[in-house]
Amino acid sequence: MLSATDFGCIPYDPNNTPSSPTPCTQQMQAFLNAVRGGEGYLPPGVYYVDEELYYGYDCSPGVDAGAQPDRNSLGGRLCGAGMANTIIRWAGADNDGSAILRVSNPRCHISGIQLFARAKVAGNAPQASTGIVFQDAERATLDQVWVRATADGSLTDLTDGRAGFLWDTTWHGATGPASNEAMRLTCCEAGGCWKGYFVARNGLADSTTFRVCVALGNGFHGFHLFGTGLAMYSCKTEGNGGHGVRIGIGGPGVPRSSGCSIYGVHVEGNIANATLAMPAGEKLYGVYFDNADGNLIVGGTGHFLDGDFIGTSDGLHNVVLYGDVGARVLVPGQADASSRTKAGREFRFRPEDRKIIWVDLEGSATNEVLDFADLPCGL
Amino acid sequence: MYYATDFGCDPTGTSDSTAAMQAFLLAARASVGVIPAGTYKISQELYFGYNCATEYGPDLHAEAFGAGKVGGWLRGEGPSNTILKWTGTTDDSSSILRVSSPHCRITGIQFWGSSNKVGHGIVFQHSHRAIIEQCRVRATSQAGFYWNLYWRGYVADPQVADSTPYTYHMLVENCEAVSCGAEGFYLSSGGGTGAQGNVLFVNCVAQSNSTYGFRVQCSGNGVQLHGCRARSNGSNGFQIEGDLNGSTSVRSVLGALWADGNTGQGLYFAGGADSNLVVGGNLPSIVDDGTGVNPVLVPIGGALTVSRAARTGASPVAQHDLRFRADTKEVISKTFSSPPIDVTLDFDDLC
Repeated sequence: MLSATDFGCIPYDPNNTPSSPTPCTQQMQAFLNAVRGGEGYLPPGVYYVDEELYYGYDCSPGVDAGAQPDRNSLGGRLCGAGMANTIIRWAGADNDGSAILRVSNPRCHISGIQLFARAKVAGNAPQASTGIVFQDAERATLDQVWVRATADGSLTDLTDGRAGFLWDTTWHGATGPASNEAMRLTCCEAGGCWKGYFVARNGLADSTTFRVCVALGNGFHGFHLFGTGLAMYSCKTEGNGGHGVRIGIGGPGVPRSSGCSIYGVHVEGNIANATLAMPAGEKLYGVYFDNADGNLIVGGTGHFLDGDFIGTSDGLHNVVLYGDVGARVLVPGQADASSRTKAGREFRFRPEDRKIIWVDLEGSATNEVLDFADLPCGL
Repeated sequence: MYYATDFGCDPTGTSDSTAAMQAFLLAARASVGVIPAGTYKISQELYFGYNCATEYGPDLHAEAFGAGKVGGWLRGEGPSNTILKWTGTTDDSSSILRVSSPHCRITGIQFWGSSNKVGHGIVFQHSHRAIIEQCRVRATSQAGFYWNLYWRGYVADPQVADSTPYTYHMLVENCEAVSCGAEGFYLSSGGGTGAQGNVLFVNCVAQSNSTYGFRVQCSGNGVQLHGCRARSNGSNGFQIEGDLNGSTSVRSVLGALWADGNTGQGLYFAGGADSNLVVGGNLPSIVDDGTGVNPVLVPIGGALTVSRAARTGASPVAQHDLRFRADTKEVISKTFSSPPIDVTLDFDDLC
């Protein structure tokens, strides 16, 4: 296994860093190139970089655009010593559109690394725009990767804002064939970013799974997922300034998100933490479906402490099941009714009065509360 | 990266490796430590991370909160190959390894209690965001995998606001507990309500343990089990418990579970375990003891028998069982007032 220090990378002691640490960008890139199809190790310490790194191949226009290298030379394992111990820290220009790391490496495995966007120079002002960008990373797995403090709320485009974890196959204008399908993230965390996890319109991250991932204290949505078949298990979204979880991207010409599932999300304090002025008519929710069909929430485990847990706009067939709803629930069934062509149904359990709420979103929304004891069948 | 054998650990199982293994664990606790294949004799409890009984935990808000103490990766070469074998002579209720290491990762190790002379296999005290994968515990006198925040006590750092240990958001995957003297996996109430929530168990197996295969108490708020199997255990395969007074829920999600050959029930809700949700699975029986306020069972497909255990004392509480039948797009609902009644609801006939 190759070590980053063998390439001249400098792991500073986080508790004893000089006032002007020397970046090791070129050495780190050389290391990443060497291990893109093998196994690489980043020993504990803080590594400063001042330019965007890439892991895999460079798919920027004019470099390897549209021409992936032999896949036998990709799919490596990049291993840190834990996200509390191995830190890649940004020391470049402030919010210049860079990510700390972009990944064009199908079937790779990244584990145990922290990407810290805020540089320890010039009064802590400079920040990278994005933590990690997935450009061509289908089947990749990430375990225990932590992105902290990327650029926040300076962007006005609420749809394409930057993120801690960003899926975008067109990053830097790349046009080559790329896919981020069927990735898996486990025990990852995004904190202090704009959006925590964001699958952009060109993210192509269908069937990606998030397990035990956390979005904590980001400026906008905790999770903003787009595509088909994405799943979340035991994730937490707390203290973010937007929706806790948003499934789908609205707007003309944007395909619907479908088949997404959420198992046991912990949603807390996102609405209360919002400082952003939302567009007229738009409201924040713990979980929000926007132009998204066939979603499934199973189990209200953890906490549903945001006031209005579920919101939908323009969904075709949302099925929502949960076993615990401690907070008020609201389905607005709001605008854009003309686009609904099929019934959308939700089933909810309300433990305080042991009732099932059935909501049909066909046409103008109707809400019916079903109490088994009141059904004519004699229960 | 550290190797246990470089610290004098004996992979042949000839000499005792306790002191050398602890020295190795201290060196590797904020790095990557590899335990090469072999059998290592252990006669005293080891710890990975910081010694919560004698030293402060890390400041979770620090830039690099590992602080040289926690968050490392402990790697064996697979549970069939790397074995920590207990050789203590008496059952003193120790564990083979206790873990106080947030964000750590433990992979590919077998913890062998060896003739029930050790209490627990592995104890998690402070290990939120940790990943435990392909680990095996066998032949302990108590639980195989045991969550208890108060194990050995802990020292709160007066300079750090959030120094209390907890185990939120762990992943336990492809792990196995075999022939333990109590539970296979036991997420206990020790440590306070909710402090151990949202642990995700995936593809874990509990087999031939003396009591429950999997036991989740009220502290395990939001625990999920998916694709797990409880086989031939001495009590219920899966046991989900509230806090016995109804004030705290468990709110678990249980998906695609398989229970077979257990002495007790396949799945048992007890002590006010509220708002649990079962999706699919192969469970020969699901029983609720009637003290929970609102257990919710949603099997999709497959046969399921639901019965209600006899209870005395408190008044019965209505409970709902909602099932989807995908083939006919019907909902089958059931309540457990006495006697049980089954009703089929077709959406098209409602409202």
